[in-house]
Amino acid sequence: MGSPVKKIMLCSSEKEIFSVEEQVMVQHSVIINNMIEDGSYNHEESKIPLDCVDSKTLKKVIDYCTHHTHHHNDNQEDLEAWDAQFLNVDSNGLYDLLMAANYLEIRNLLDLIYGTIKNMIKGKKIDEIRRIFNIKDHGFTPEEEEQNRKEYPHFY
Amino acid sequence: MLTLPPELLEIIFLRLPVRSLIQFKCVCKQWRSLISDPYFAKLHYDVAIAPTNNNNTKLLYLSSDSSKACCVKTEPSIHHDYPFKLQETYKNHSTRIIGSCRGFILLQNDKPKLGIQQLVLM
Repeated sequence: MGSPVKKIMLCSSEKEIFSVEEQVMVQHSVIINNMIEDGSYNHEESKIPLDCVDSKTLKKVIDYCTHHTHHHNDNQEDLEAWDAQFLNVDSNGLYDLLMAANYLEIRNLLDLIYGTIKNMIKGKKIDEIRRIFNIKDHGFTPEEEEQNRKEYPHFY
Repeated sequence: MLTLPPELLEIIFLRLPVRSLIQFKCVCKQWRSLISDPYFAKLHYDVAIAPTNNNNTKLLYLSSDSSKACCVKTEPSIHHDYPFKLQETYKNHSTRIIGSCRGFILLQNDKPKLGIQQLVLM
C-alpha cells in the first residue's frame, strides 16, 4: 500500500476550490514549490488564494501541469501536439493563461505562451498587430502617424 | 487581447528578429520606447548571440555583380535568403565586405567620393 497522494487546495478568484496533487504543482510552479518548502502552506487548513486567476483559467493551468507531470516521458511530438491543442484558445484566453502562468511562475507554460504570441505577431502588418492587442490609442500625433505611414508604407 | 504589461511584452520582443522590432516601433508609443531603450537593445543582442540548440549561423555574401548583399541561414537547410539591395549609385562598382559587428555590416565601395555604406543585418 502506497501512502495516499498528498493534495493541496487552490482557490480561484470566484472562490472555487480546486484540489490538486501537491507534486504536480510543486514540480511546475516556482511559487507553490516555495510555499511548500518554507512551510507556509499548512496541509490541514491552508488554501492558496489565487485572486487574479479565474476558475476557467485555473482549471486549464492545472490540466497543463497534470498532463506534463504524468506524460513527461511521452515522445516530443505527442507532447507538442497536446500543447498545440491546449493553446487553441482565443486571444483573451491566451492572455488569461499568460497572466496566470506568470503569477504562478510556471516556466515551461510561460515559454509555450510567449512562443505562441511571438508566432501570432511575427510578420504581421501594424494594423493587424493593433487589432490583436486591442491598441486603440497608439499615442502618436496625427503628424507622426502620417509620417510613419509615408515612410514605411509596407509596414501597414 | 488586453494590454500586456511592459515586462512581459519585453520578453516576447526578445524573441523577435530585429526586422520585426524595427516595424513594431510604429505600433504605438509604448512599444517604440520599449524597443528604443538601449538597455533592451543590449539584452536583445545578448539573447540573439546566446548559443541555442538551433544553429543560427548565417552566411553573408555579395552577388557576383555586386548589386546586392545576401544573408542565408546555414542550418538546418539553406532556404532563408535575405537580399539587401544596394543603392543604384553603388552598382557597377566593386563592393567588398569589410566586416560585421552586432548585426551591422560594413561595406566598402570603390566609387569615388561614395566611400562606405552601412547596412543592417537581420
